[in-house]
This record gives sequence, C-alpha cells and structure tokens, in this order.
Amino acid sequence: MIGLLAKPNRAWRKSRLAARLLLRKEAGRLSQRDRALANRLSQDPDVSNRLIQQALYFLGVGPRKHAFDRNLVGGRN
Amino acid sequence: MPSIETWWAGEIDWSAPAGQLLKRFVAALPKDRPFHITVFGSAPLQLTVDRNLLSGDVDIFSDDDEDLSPIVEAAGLGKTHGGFHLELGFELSFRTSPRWRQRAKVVQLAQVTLTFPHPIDILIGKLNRLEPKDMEAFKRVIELTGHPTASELLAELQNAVDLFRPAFDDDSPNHYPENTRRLWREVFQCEIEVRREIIEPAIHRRRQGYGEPPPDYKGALKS
Repeated sequence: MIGLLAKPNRAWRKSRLAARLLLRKEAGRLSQRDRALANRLSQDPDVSNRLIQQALYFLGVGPRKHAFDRNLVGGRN
Repeated sequence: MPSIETWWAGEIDWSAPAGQLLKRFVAALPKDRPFHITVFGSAPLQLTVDRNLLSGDVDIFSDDDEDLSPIVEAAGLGKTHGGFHLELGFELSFRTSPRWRQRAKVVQLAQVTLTFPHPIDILIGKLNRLEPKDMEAFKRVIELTGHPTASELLAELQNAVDLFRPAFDDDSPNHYPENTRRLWREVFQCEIEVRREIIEPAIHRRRQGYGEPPPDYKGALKS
C-alpha cells in the first residue's frame, strides 16, 4: 500500500529536488555531492522539464522566473 | 456572441414521422430496465426545427454501445422491413463538437432516456459528408432560426478543431476542410481559409491552455 501511494509522488519529488539544485546552482552553492545528484537527475526519465518548472514556481521563483531562466538556462531551449 | 442555447428551445414534435417511429421503438423496448439512447443524423432537425426535413431513417445509438438490433428487428423497425426505419450506429459514428452533450435536449419517455443533440452539433456532424440533403439542412435551419451565422459556426468549428485532423488512412480521407470551404461558398457566399481561420486560432488557444513551454532545465542540471 505504501509503495502504491509513494509511486505517484516519485516524479514530483525528484523534480522538486532538481528544482532545488537548480536554485542552488544559480546561487553558486552547488557542492560536489549536489553536482553528482544533479547529473543523475538530468538523466532520470521520471524528471521532466515541465515538472521542474512547476516545482520552481512551487518554491517561489515566480516573481523572478524570467531572470532565473536567463541566468541559468540562457539560450539552452 | 449570444449563447448557442438561446436560439433552440428543443421542443420535440412527436407527431413528425421520426417522432412516431421513436415512440414505437420506445414501446417495443423491455420495460424492466433503463435505456439511454441518442438520436442523431437528420431526425433531431425534423423533430425540433422543421418537420419537413425528411429522410428515410432515424439514426440512433445506445449510449453504452449496447447492440439494439435484436430488439429493433423483432419490433419490425429495422431496415430489412423496408419503409421508414431505425438505423443503428455507435457514438463513434457521431463526429461533431466535443460540447454536444452539454447542450443536447434530454427527454424521458418511460424507462427510456432520449438525447437529442443541438442543431449546431447535428449540422457540424453533416460536414463529414455534406451531401446535397446535408447542405439543404444547413440552409433550412438558418432560414428558420437565423443561426448559425458564419461567425457562430466559425467559433464552433474552432472548438471542434480535431475534426480537421488528417485521416488515419488514404481510403477515407478527411473531408471536413474541403466541405467547410464548400459550405462557406454556398451558404455564406464567401471564402474561408480553414487553416488560418479555424485551425491556427484553435491550436494557438490550446497551446495557451497548456501553459508556458519550459526551458531545458534538465540540460542545465548536467553542466
């Protein structure tokens, strides 16, 4: 039962973690461990750009989203 | 733009040929359980707009795709018996606006719930073939009700944009674009650019509803 409940949240939890790592990266505060985790999440099929974007809004990036995107992602679209 | 519901009261003329046939059909159905049936094709127009809009059959489908042919045949109301008859279809046969159920007229006759789509949805369904009798139906509905206007129909077709998607196979190509152009020429006496006026605005609105496309955050995680 716990497995069934946990499964639907997995993608969201990972994407939220990915969003936190991006915020840390933008602030220049990524540790070695963070970098390794970020790299793993970048290849994780559960993690999607759309869900990361939702997580970023969830974490309060909304008012400065465009600046955040410019600084972090730049012309990567 | 006035609501699409305001120009159609949906009053059923049960004395029309289609009404008489439906009453016979309802009387033939088993009384011990409910039935949910939709009447499509030209019959709803005959029953609610113009009793002179005649055809040889009444198209119906069971809302749960139940096979009603044994009942129809036993009651002598199928095509094999000749004369005015019931033509059984499926909901998949009724290609029209996705909004059709929310503006249909629903009538209860004993244990049978009959659904009659709004004329706009019947007419949109006729764009699939747009045979001469279908074109006549458009003209007659507009003549009697003043609707749909060109702008009303345009808005409705935008909401039904998926009807304009290319066909699955070459044997049955999608005639909606071509028939829409034909209809505009004959009924509204002007040209319509289907892609620019129907498809593109609809797709644009749909994309807006999906929200902003996200940047490549996964790529940013890598570096």
